[in-house]
Amino acid sequence: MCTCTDIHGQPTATRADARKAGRKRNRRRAAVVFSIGALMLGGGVAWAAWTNSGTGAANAKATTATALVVTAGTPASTLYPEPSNGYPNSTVGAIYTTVANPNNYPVTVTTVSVGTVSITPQAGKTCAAGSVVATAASMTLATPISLPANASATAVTIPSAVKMLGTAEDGCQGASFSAPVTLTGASS
Amino acid sequence: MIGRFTALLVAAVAVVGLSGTTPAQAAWGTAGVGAGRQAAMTMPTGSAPTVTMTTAVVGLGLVRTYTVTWPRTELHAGMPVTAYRVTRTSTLGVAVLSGGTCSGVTVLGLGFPTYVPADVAALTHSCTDTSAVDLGVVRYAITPVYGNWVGTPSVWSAPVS
Repeated sequence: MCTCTDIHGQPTATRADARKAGRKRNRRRAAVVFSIGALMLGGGVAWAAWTNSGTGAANAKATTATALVVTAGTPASTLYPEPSNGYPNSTVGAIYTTVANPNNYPVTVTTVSVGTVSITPQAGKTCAAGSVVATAASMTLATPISLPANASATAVTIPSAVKMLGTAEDGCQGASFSAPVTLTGASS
Repeated sequence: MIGRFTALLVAAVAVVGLSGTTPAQAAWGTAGVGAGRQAAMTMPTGSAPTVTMTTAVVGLGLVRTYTVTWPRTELHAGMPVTAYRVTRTSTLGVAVLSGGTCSGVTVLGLGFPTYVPADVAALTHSCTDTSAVDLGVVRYAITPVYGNWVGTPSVWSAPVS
């Protein structure tokens, strides 16, 4: 009330004060809107990510992505000592696995790493450790592996993953090889 | 005025906010660790050779030349083995190659001489084995070799004498 009296009593100064007060309010409102906007921005990333994979419970699953289930597959080719000019195709040094995708969204596997190869020679034979090695610590797949949502175990071939040294001994014939394989991908 | 300003601000925030969400949508990384498997092949069995024998008088003696011919052996289609072991059995002497080209060179680590074709990709290979003594009935077998790997010998060739 006191302010009103002052305004009525001094019209010129009152209009200036009113404009000033209006600007203050604008700034305040802008600050409030900006703060809300900033909060929305921060929250918006998460919100949009949740909606990416569906709604409700599906979103909760997406935030705690379940690991792909990788198990040993059945070799469809065989390995032999690498020629000096390399293997003639990518099948010879392939690794065979089966992969299941327990997530309710499709996953595309783009990177594979192969660990130390374990060798099991045939009975009565020897094949020195290190005779078979991974071709690279980590490799980007030329053809990414697409796994549908909730895919059951699917045979997956990882080409050119391992090689046998050209000096591998005779006892390596018929040996079996196993290696830890890490498949890395993202939702697609 | 205030309404317009507010609307612009909200729109700007919304645009920035929405554009910022796009990378997050593609970032649901996942991985899996398990076993991968592979197996080594076993060497193939050699193909039985065909053998012919010719004789020639050299000085005061008779030299027998056995020409051994066999088809190429492959690890798999288009991948021939790198060498062959040529073995002989005879009724009148020990099974040692006495001369000719079949003895080939000794491949280090194998412990026995092998025949290394000039062209391993050739469809057929041939070598000669000579002897100044009568060996009686002679037969040959071929064993494929690849690096340090040795295959299974072929069945014996038809006998020649």
